[in-house]
Amino acid sequence: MTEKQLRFVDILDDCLDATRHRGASPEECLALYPGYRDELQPLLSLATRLESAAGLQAPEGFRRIASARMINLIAAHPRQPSQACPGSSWIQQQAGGWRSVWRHAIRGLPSWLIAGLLVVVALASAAGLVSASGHSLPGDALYLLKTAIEQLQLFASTLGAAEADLRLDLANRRMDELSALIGQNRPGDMQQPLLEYQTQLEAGLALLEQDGRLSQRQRVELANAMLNELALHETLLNRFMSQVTAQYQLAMQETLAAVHRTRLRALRIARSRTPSPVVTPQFTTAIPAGNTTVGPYPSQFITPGPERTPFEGPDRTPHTGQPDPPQMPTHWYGESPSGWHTPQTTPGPYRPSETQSAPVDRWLSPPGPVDSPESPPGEPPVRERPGPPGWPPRGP
Amino acid sequence: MLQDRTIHREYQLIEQALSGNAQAFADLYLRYLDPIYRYIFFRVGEASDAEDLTEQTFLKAWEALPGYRNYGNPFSSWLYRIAHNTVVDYHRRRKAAVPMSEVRPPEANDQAVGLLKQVIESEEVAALAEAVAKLPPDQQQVIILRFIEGLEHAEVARILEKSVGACRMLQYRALTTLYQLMISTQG
Repeated sequence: MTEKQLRFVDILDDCLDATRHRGASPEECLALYPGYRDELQPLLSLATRLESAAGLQAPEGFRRIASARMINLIAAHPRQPSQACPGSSWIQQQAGGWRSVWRHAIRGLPSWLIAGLLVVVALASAAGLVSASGHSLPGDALYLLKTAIEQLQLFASTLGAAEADLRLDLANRRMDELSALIGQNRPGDMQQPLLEYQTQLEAGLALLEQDGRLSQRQRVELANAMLNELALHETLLNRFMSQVTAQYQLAMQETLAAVHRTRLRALRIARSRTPSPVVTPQFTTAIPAGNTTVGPYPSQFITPGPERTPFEGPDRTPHTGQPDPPQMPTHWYGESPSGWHTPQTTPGPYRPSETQSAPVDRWLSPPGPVDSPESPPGEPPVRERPGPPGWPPRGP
Repeated sequence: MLQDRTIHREYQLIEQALSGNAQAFADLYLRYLDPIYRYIFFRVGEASDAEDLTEQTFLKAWEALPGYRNYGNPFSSWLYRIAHNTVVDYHRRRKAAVPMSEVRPPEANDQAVGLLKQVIESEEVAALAEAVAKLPPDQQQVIILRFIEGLEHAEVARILEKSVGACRMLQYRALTTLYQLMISTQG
């Protein structure tokens, strides 16, 4: 393009701008550029004719039905999320801009370093996603990921004890989810965690009862841990019952019944002990004050008797010089069963000996309206209760 | 202030349409029906095709709306891009059957034109539409966007994805070519 043509482009543009925005007439513009009049005049005239077509409107018949037709078309063509955006040039520009920045940033870096950075970023993203999914609830987008990870964990747990422990942990998570759902007033989303909770209980208990990989000692330990958790779950479920409408109370009652059934079976396992290879110390004196709860057993059942080994001072070292009994898992001590919230100051390694064990049947059919499977849901168990038959009477 | 309110209202409609509100999108449709229709009409030169393509344009816009980002660009510019792509597809489909030079300009007795008839009955507009339809696509766009839609160079440049300088040059060439076409038609 010649210099004259470039000059003409500027003049044409100036004249168009003057007529459009500055109220100048074509004649006034032509007067400003007399040397270009012959070329300029027909183009300005053409521009004026074109601008007169700006009043063109869509036909009235088309316009009248346009809105309704569009709504129908939209209904017939639901959005496809993955569809390409025909007019997404700005998005492409933005993406192109970031690509340019990225290319500039990594220029000169060795390829192994770039690959390493990408792996780190991918791992960090995945870890973040997994971490975020841990707090998700049924109905949330990440909940599927959470349950998938749990299934992977179950699949990976080859040891019977680990799987039983994991199933108990999963039951606890479902209980946490129920609590959160009720807190967020989302009772409609409770069905899945309630069902999943019962499934985990049943599967965990089946492992304790049938899995040949578990030793008797592991069975007892896990059954006691389960009893501890179940007592807490019972309290929580009773609380939830009071917070949901009747529509959801039936599901809660069913879950409570499942809890009761599981407790019965767990108790049988906990009480059916085989001789332990570890010598159990024989206590001859009373357990120091404050140590009122041992394991899952209510303190009332751990009535100290004269046959028990006396302690020497507060550290509870037995006189006998026998080695310490095996330590119970710490979570045995943490929470006492529901309704038995006695503070525990010294987690003792005490386990009831064979002679101290209460008959299972008697345990299951307590004489009063105690924390028994037959207790009505929501009713706190009675703290004071006579010990099972065969147990020495309570000391003063 | 009025323009701010209009833009705000448009933004609200876009947000509502994004969340799936078809009525909000229908409101946006009515808002931009005439300019998009005009743009398409002058590029295809046929009223009934212009109606179909206008509808297609907005349907594509509805489907692509989740991908729309403002980034300081007006919604209308985004629509013009979709309309341009729709027209390109239209010509591509018709290329084998009907050569561009034979695209029929709007006729005064066309059944579907409605109010449009009142305007295009004028030989002037009919002749303009016929001539514009014969221009190369980028020159068609600059003529329609600059003189019929009254857009500024910056906005035309955004829609055409060209520089402002290139658009000014294109405008000069388009006007010159159009003038020659009109002369040859009249001659």
